[in-house]
Amino acid sequence: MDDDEAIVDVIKKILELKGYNVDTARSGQEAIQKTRAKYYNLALLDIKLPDMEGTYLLSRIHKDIPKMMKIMITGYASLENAVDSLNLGADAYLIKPVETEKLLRTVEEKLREQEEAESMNQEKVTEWIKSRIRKIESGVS
Amino acid sequence: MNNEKVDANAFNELLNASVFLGNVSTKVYGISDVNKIYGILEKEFSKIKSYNVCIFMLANKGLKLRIAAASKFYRKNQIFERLFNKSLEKLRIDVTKSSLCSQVVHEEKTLEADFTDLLREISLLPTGNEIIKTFNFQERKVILSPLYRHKRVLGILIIDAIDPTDQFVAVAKNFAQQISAAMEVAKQQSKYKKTIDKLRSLEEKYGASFEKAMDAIVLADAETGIIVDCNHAACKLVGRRKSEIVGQHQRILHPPEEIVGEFSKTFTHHLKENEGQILETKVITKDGEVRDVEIKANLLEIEGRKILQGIFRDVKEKKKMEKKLISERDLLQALMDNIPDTIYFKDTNSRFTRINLAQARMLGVKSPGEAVGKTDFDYFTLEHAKDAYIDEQNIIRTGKPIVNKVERIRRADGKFLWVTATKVPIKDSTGRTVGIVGISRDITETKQMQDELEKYSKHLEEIVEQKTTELRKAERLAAIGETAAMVGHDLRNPLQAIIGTLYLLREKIDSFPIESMEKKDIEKLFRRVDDEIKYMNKIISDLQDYAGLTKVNFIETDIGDVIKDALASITIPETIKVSVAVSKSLPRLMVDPTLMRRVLTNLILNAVQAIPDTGKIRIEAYNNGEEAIISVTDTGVGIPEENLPKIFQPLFTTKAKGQGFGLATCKKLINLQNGEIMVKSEVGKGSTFSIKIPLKR
Repeated sequence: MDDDEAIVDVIKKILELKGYNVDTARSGQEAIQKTRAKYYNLALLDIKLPDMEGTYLLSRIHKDIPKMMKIMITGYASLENAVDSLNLGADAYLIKPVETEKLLRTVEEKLREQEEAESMNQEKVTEWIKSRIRKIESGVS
Repeated sequence: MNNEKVDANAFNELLNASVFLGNVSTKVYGISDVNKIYGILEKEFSKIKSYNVCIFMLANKGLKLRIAAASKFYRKNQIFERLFNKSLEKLRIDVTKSSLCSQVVHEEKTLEADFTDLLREISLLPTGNEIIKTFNFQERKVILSPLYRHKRVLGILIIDAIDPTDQFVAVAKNFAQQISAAMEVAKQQSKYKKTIDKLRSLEEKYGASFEKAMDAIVLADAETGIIVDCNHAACKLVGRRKSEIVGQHQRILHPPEEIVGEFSKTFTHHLKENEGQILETKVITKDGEVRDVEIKANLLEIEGRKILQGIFRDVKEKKKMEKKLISERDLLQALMDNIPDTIYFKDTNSRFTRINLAQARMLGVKSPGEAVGKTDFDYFTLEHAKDAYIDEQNIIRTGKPIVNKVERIRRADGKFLWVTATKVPIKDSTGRTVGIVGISRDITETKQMQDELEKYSKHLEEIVEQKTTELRKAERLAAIGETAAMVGHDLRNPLQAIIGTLYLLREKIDSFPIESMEKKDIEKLFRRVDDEIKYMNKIISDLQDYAGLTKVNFIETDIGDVIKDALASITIPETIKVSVAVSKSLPRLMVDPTLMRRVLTNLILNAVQAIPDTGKIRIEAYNNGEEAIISVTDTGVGIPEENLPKIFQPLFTTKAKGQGFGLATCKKLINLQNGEIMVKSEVGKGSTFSIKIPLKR
């Protein structure tokens, strides 16, 4: 999600080349609508938007879909922005211009983290069921 | 009864005689010409028959008597001519031959005798007896009484009468005295007339006007004290007419307390020893008012007579003037002694004639009198004394004053003062400059304040100029910063697009079946684009660092770690040897580690770039009292001295490939952390950049 068409376009193409399904948004409003309509595993968000503060968009999306990975990309590096972004639920923070390899690496990392978190949850459920069964078995006897 | 009748007749006769003689004496008194007196006497005595009068006057040095006057009876009958057989003018009586005359003249007696006895004594002619018989002289008696002038017997008054009583003799004697007085006055007046005429002529000759003189002038006989003349001012002084003064004794001019004996004290004093001196006394007016006067008296010898000329001056006016003068003098003294300004009077040779207390303090003398006769050369520096002398001599020569001249002088205690001096000429009644009077005011404090003010205003101008320059610089920097921020941000987006596009391009080319050699060439081209992108990225970072970042996060930081981080982010060629020395005593610093890392990275990168082939970079950190010092030293090309002041300014660079924001950013980031950055460099030997960070916050 970026207001710069060239960036949106080239990053979409790169990610699609790597096999991801990509949707783009050109404004904060469009981004909110799209995330409500469809589940996305990950969002790349520009911090500077034409219609709202990038940090505001981030907090809105985080509230709606906490599980979605959110990577902030900004042209204006500042510690303040970075800290704010992370506090508001961002999972990563990148500074323009970001090298393509680094971008792809970060995307991959975040998706793996998400996957791991989900599998962790799955494992916990499995473990809980197992222990419950054990309790039931011992309790009946 | 008969006796009583006789007595009554005698009394009447006496009364008539007394009244008659009184009238005569009144008539002759005050007449200045003796001959006129004789004439009056003869005329008056011709009116009576009961007694005859004649006057014998001494002549020939007192040896002879001449007949000055004779009543009608004698003249008509030519008694004396017939007795002496001579004309009345030529007739002389030998005093020594007459015992009666001798007694009157020499013993000053008033005698009564038989007329016949007198006649026989003065004339031995045979005709005597005949005349006696003819005129019945044997029945008549004569009274001889001396006539005086100036206490000396001048002649004899002879009155003949038939059987005169004792009372008549007394009346006759008194009459003789009256006549004496009249003659005295007449004689003196006639003499004084000559004297006064002489005096007047002298006065006229010498241009003095006796009558018009402002001072009262009284001329009195030195021996008798009789006033012989006075002027109008004298009349005014004593409130009398001239006729009421002239002929009177000088004592009438003075009140009783001023009189001792016959004369006034001053009259006696002036005559005895104080001629020419001014004496104080008092005069009394006709109305009894007593006035203070000064008298100056001179003894004049005129026509053989001694005349005391007294010049009177009413001192009431003088005393008033004196009092006024004294009060003015006191005022002047009070002013001079109390005014903080120094006042001095000098003669034409620039010698002090009078100074005030302030000037005495200035000169360091105990009393103003000490400086009299001295000059500036005795008290001041030679230079000042010379200048002042030249100024004063100019004033004396030209009469032009000096007003408020600023001078620097040394006071007696050695302290230098600034004064404004005003000096004006003093002129006498003829307009000749006889000296100068000066007044100087201490303006040291004012002058110092003025100087300080001038200095301050000059300093202020400098400050304003400096601030203006700084402001312009700041404005310029702010404009640069704004532009930098904008450019930096706006370049990031296209750069991002280029990077992405380049990636896609690579991927695409990789998937094409192209010869391996060509692919290698293409890869080289890609790498060059990558490098340029990196370089562009650094420019943008520097620009943004410089423009932004006004907030600093102070964190306790280990500088050794920051140095390690900075070094880790840089690829340093193997030809350059890097050494790091961090003092163990260096405490953790309150800095923003991110900013510090950026600065150090920048400095180390610069050092690397400054070394052409091989060299060393040494990084040190230690504490120096209240500051921590972090320095980066290289053995590179060094910076020319003229460039040293400019290297921390933005847009200054000596590198072919440099945008000039690196060191400017470093300085800004260090300043934000309350530190300082400095450089020392020598061309051909290398440079040292030092950062000072305060230890305590």
